[in-house]
Amino acid sequence: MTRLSDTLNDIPLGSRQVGGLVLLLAAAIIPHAANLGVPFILFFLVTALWRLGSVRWHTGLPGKWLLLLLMLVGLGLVFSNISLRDGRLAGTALLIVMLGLKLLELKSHRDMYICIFLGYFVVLTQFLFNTSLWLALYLFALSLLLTGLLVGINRCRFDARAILASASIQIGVALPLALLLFVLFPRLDSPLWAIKLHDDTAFTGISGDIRLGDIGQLSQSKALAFRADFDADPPLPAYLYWRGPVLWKFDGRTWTAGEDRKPTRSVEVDPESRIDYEITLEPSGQKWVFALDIPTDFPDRLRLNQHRQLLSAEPIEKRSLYRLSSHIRYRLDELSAAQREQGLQLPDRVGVRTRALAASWRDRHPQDDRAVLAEALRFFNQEAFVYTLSPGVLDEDPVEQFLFENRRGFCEHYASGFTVLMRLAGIPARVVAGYQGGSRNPLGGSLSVYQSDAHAWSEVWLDGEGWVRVDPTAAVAPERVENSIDIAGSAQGGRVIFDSASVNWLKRFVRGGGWMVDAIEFNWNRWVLGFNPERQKSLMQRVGLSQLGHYAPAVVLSVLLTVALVVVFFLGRRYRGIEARDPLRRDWNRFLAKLRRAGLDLPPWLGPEAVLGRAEERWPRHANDLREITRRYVQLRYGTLSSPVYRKQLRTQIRQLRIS
Amino acid sequence: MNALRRRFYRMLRRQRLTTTAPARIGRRHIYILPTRYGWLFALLLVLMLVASLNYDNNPAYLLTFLLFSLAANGMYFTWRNLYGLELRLRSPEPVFAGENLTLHLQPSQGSRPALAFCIAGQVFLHDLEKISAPVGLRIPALERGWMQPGELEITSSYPLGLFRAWSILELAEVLVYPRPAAEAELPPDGMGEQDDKASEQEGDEEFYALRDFRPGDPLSHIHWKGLARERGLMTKQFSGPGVEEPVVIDWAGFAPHDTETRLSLMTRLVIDAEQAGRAYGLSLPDTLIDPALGTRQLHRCLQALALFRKRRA
Repeated sequence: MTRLSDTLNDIPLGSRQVGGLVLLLAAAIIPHAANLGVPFILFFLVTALWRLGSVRWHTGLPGKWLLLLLMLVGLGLVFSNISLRDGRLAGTALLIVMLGLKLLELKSHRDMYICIFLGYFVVLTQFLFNTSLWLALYLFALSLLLTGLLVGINRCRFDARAILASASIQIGVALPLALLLFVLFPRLDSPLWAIKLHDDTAFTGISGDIRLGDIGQLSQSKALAFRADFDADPPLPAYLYWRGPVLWKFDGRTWTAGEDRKPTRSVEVDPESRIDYEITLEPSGQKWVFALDIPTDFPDRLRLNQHRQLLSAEPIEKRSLYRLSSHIRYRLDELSAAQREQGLQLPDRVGVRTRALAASWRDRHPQDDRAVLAEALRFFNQEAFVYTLSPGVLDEDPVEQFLFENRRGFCEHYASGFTVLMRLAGIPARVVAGYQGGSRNPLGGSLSVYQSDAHAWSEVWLDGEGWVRVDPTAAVAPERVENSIDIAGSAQGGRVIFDSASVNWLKRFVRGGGWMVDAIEFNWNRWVLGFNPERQKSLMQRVGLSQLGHYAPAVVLSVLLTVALVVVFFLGRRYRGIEARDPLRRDWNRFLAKLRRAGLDLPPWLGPEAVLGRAEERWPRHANDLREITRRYVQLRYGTLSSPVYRKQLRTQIRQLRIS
Repeated sequence: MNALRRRFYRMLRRQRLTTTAPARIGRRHIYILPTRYGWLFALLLVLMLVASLNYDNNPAYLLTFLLFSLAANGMYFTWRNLYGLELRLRSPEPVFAGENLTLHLQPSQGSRPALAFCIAGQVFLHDLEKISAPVGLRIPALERGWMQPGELEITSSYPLGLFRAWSILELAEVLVYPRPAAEAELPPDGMGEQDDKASEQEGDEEFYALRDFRPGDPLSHIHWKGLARERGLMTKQFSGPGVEEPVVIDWAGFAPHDTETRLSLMTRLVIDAEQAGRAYGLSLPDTLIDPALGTRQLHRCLQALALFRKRRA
């Protein structure tokens, strides 16, 4: 048993096998430069090059002491650079150091196996840091090559084409089962042990507080915030307000959230206005889940706070997919005294001109909040306001300065100015940060919302109507709501240029390619990265197995595997070929087997008479029985005898035959 | 552990492979078990699954499941590498003790990389390609007589090395001739009688021995009676100038030596006589072979020498 593996182990390793291994491992490790830092990659590359050199020019490998020194250097690297609290980082770093050292003392086939297996594990560690589609494609290609190498060390001749063909076929054949397992394998709701991802990674995106200028900065980022996929056609852009943090407190410069309580108030929704969709959030490090207006159905993992705003229990640190339903026509009732107080809060310093402006509107319409609101919007629309990404420096009292002097600003400036004016006029108001609009991918139909779509607007309390969304930016630059910002085209400090259909063909072509890539990425995010227990559950529901509850995937998986085994078993029976289809032949073969077991040498081509001849000669005592069986078989096979009774007799005779 | 393993191996089904009966490795003749690398790979998969579960990382799951399916299918691919292989054993060339016996196996067509043929503690690795050349297995022949080449185990762990499939064939026994001595001379006393006879038989047209028919022999010299008795086509030889008289190699003539040495010396004489073209016979305590010449006579004599006082196993 061990003989074969020992023999194989003794075969010297070919230079192509070793060279291939070194190159593949280096290719698998290099992307870790982004996660572990360059020193580790350099350490590995030094050992890899050393090994390659020894393969190519037969230079020596380090001796025992040098190897020990190298190991100390490697361990030193790990302990000085990597925080051991992050098991993922420390584990990966150690793995790379050890793999580098292993390359230097690679001798036998056994070492090759170990290195290839560890290579697969290195590929896995890459996924723990980065799950982008492109890296994944690269890594799966590497896995294919590693498999090829495994095939290569199991062949006598290293024939690259044959090896690659074999590995590709094997991976291709393995895919269906892999996908089945992926879909049906039961997932854990919580990790096996506590882990902390992204210890000190900075995210771009809307944070809990909004300083004036924050969103303007964010708008220059082309990073993706989330993608949304609507079951039906997406709503018009004017309805696409993705609500994020609701902000009450203003100190003149920064908006912060108010207290957070469970929603107590009822909401009336127009059932016609229901929208079902899925969103795939990019990691944000925040708890906000950006939903349209009033979310009514959402996963259990999320909760709704008092502002009807969705929050996840933990900060979102990896791409996550949620299935939501929202209503965009609704009516919220009642405002508590505490909320009214919060909704009227003013910063310590409010400029005289601002106060006077609000007072003048209130004087004109003492009872009519709607008229005051209209006055404010008219003010923003008719005064010489400029919508720009670089509003210039605002100090002292930013609101007053913005409203009366500078008049250049971005959405948060308008929202702040508007909200302060409303509050001064005695109308409860608040600022909502989030995203507005999104770019629709004509290929996939999904909506991509970028950081540049970040937006801030106001909500005001109107008696009898509840909280009403008012977007003062729309009063200044209505295009903002209809189109996305074209960042590349917006010159620094100039007016914002909006995207519209009037782009030239070249731009459209470039964008078309971009959409294609975007669609592929979207599907990767949606079907692979976004696959979660919920999706598994809804899939089970769709197949009609929801009553099995939590165990449904496991049950389906075992049933399918059992069916597969049964199919394989019955297919296997057909391998018996002719025997299965010819019962007479089977009986005769049983007879022959009996004779062979008793020690008669019967070549397979002997005819019945010849078999009889040899058997009679060997066992004259049983000649009668033997002749009887043979005669009956010949009659059944070649003669006119065909009754099942005779066939049964033959079977009994064969069974009862005892040769000693 | 080893005893257990040996017992396990004895339980396995095996097929006979003889020169007349080819063997086909069927469903029921293949055994398959994970190799130690297979177990190591299983451990790797467990670790990968734990990492995927813990970090709830979907691409990691995908990779883990892909590798799992790869290994699971690998079992089938390894099995397939053996399944349906047909082997024919060619009649082995005669071999003398102390030489290497070469068994030629003719495999059926089909691409089967990295098949290992293990026999008598030796391993022969072959990539069988679409059109496959015969596989030669060289094993040392130590003793004269019927030799059991033992079991031939055909093994494959292709393509991934995670599983090892094997099938056991029992090879038919092969005759091994005695080891010929380096040189030998006819004992003088054994020849005397023969010499007289030979001188008596001197004369142009005097018959003295039979040998295998060779093309070109005159028809009148054919031993027709022998042919009628189904003894094959033989040619009568007649003594004449230039033809040496037949010799009978006699067991009794090598008295001082032990059995094996005597057989060795006799083997050498048989070979020499055949090469010299001088008719020879053999006299053993239980066998007597009349003088003749030719390949058939040679093998007849060598077989008698090989099996002298050996029972068929």
